Amino acid sequence: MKPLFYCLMILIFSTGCSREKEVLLGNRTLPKKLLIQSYISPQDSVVTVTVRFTEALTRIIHSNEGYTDLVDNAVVIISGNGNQQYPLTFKKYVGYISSSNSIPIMPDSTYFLSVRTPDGYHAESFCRVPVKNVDPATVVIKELKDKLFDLSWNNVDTGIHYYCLINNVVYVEVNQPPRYDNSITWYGISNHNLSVRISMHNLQLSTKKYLSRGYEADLWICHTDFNFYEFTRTLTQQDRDNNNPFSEPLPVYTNIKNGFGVFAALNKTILYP
Amino acid sequence: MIGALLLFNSSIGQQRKILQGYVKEVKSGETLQGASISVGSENYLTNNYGFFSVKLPESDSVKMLVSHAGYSPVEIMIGSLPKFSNFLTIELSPTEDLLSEVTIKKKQNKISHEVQMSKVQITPQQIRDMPVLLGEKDVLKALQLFPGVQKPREGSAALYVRGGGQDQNLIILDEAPVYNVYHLFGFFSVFNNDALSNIELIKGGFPARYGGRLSSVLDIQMRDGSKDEVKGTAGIGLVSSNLTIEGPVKKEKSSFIFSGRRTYADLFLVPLTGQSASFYDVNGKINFELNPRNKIFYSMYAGRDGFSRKEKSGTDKDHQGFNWGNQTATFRWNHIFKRGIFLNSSLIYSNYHFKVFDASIRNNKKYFLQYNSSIKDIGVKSAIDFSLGKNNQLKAGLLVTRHLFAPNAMVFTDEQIDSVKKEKNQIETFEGAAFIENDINLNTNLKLNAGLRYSAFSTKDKFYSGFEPRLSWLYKLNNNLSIKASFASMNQYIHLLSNSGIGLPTDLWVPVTEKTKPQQSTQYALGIAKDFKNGNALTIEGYFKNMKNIIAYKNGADFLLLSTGSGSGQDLRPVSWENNITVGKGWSYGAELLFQKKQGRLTGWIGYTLSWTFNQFDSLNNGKSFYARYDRRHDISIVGILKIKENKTLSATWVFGTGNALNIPLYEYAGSLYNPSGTGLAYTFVVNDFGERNSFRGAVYHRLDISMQFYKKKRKNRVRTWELGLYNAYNKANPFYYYTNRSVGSDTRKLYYTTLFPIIPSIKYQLKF
Repeated sequence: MKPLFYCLMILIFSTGCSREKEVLLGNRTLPKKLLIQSYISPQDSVVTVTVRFTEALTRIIHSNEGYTDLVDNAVVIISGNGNQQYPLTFKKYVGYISSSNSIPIMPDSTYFLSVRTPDGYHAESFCRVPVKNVDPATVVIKELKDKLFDLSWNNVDTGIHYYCLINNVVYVEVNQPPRYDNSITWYGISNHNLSVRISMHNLQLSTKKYLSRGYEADLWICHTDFNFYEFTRTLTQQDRDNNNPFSEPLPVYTNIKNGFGVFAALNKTILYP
Repeated sequence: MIGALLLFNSSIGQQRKILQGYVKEVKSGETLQGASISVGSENYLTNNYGFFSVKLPESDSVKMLVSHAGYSPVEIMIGSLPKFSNFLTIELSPTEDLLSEVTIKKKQNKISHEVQMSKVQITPQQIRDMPVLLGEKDVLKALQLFPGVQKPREGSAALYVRGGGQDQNLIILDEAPVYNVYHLFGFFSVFNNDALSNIELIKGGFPARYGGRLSSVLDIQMRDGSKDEVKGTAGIGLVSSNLTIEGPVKKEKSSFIFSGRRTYADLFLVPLTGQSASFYDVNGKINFELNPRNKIFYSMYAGRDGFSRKEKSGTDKDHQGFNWGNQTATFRWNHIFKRGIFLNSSLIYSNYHFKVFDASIRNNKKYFLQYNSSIKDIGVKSAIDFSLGKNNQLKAGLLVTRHLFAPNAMVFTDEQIDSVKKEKNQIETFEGAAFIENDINLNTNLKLNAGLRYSAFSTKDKFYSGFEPRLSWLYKLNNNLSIKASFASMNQYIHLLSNSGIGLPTDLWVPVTEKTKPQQSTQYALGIAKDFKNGNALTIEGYFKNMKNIIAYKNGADFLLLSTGSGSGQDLRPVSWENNITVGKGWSYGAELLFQKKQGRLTGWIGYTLSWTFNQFDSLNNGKSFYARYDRRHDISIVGILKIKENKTLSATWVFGTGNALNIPLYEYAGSLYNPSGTGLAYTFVVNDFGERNSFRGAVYHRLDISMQFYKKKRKNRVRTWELGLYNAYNKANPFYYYTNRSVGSDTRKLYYTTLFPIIPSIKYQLKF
């Protein structure tokens, strides 16, 4: 009895608690998928589509990864309501682009995106450009206290509409391309008049502190489609709740068939407060 | 051994036709639930309070056989009973006197004669004999070893019965519902085995007297305490120590029992790590036999868990943690009317509360967030139980409960932004039910338990009600083989919002509302029951269960029900739980096999479950159906308890289960926001994609546990027990949770799982005095 007792006591005090073990996925490995992202707007001068591959559990993604590993040999086509097809051309570090002169982005029009790669991957999507933008005359900005504003505007129409606020600070130097510093906020609303309380610390600071040194600031109110709203909402919320033990997992929205990412549309109203 | 002690009260009644009374354990006076009483070809069972009422035949030559698992049977000639007595107390002797019995032969109740199907009964002694994690004997973990009952993950004491969720189990301790039955994040249950007498789990074919939950009823009764002498049990284990004291208040008329447990890991952890995890629980019961026809009981339970973490750096301080606990109390009156009607009336109280807090001081500015959730019940229940004849037993009753929910109360202070908020939202509701059920022997081969329950629930804005028909049916093919079938319709008026993460005790009970309707289920079961000549038994059952209006958190919902809005902490506010949930449906079907070896030196059972469980919610998984988290295709349990010698018991359990259906990140990619600069993409986030909900199947689970118990009889009838145990004896690395991570030195991401318990030895000392 005694040797057994001593052996057990040694085991008790030498046993560790948790271990980790790699899971061998074997034939459960999932195929790679296309990752496609594109936002179109009647007010933008270019249309851009980025195409990449993502592989299941095999490749590390860095949070600052933007334009590396872009797929450069895909056939990317945007087609409009009239079935007219607009091919895009690849530009290194940017993606597939075309000027808005080549692809007219019109309100209330539906656009289809098709991406094919030489090794047989095919993904597609579509989106509809919101019919109206926000009427600037309905926008009211009221300062509540230092750096805090109430911002409201009329809904563009009855029914559910989605909006995005973009605070854009642009640094302008002579003979240099503009450098952008921006923040983005989004809201989903119903068919009531908007009254959104926002904190605009950056805008306030930027306008007061930097305008004299070559900065310009503006505020965009964008009427977006559901794809824009839902992708942006789920993308940022998943990132915010990543380490929250009280939070349920949140899948990031996609409207790309056979892939990930988003093909979305927005219609901007640009304000200079 | 003592055979029986018969106590007559001849002053009651006239010439007997109906015989009534109690079946009790000799000496201790504990009433025995489910004892079998055979009178000629008729079989009766004692009710939950050990009471029986049987119709006697005219002939005096007929024998009455009284038996119960673990007790020596008693045979009584009807003719030997006094003619003018109709009240009888029958006392049975336990056959498990450890130091005098080696080969145990017990008269068992025949499973093929019981109309109730889908039932599991286990005794505290069986639980004591079984090996378990760190030597902590646990009712719920013992029940997980039966078919149809599944555990969610390694170490957890939670029960998932026939595809139902945790909230769908009605768990009652002396008639009081216990809302959170877990200690230490679910690794142990709140039930102290030393204080318990009867443990019965019903998985389907629910009698009409039970209701309020969809999937199971776990009816646990506390012991009354010895009416004969003061005695007790003290134990020291690796996790906790326990003490139980019981004895007569007035010999043979009144008794008490008090039992308590406490962990002590926090005593060492706090000074060393600043972290604390602890629990305690106490059970108490006192009863008075006012006269043979009137008894009163008072029982209570109180338990509390705490987990906290403290940190200090200069003048900055942090303190975070959780507290949760239950309190229950039951005052019960049993009365027997002259015509053999048994009345049980109870006043019931139950309270569950949960608190999470986060307090800190930074630069001499205080930050404090406290979040509370609770449910308080107070109810009355009254039921009668009487015989309408030798083939007809009737039960009927009423109950009313007031629930007071406080799903999200918050206190928030942040001196940095000069913000103070207090929010409390209480919801008062009433739940009521009336039931009637009838046990009928239509002929010698055909038995029915037919019942009807009417349940109702009232909130401030809404009233729900519904009829719940129940039917259990038995047809004897021969004396040892029967076919059984059942149908049960159930309504559930309260919901549990439970986090699907790694097991924080984030239980939040909420009532039905106008938007969130009652959960409803219908269950059909069909099976056979076979008793073998040597006392062994086999049951095979198939079932189909359909569930409506079940709820789940929406994707991304936060349990704390707090919204931070778009700005800073100034916008912190509670949000409605109704906006955080989605309503859907579920269905489960499968087959269960249970073979029990009940006699001899080796006892135990083999259980096998084959099952499928699905859920469907319009706003989850794009509206497509998916496997429930607790879907498990195969589940096997083998339990063996071997009496090696009169003072040594060896026991082992082996479990095997298909891996859980999990929601893990299968893909990772960089997702970018819209870039207002016009070209390219703006800020990029790393995105985890989970694929189809619960589409990943975890690794299979299997584990062997062994324990050896050494008994020694000491002076003054004291018995000491040393128990040595091995949990996970062959050191299987079973998954606890999955995560993805980059492998060291390479640019690839892989899937890993963490195991929680390797081989773990345990030692426990117990003294009965």
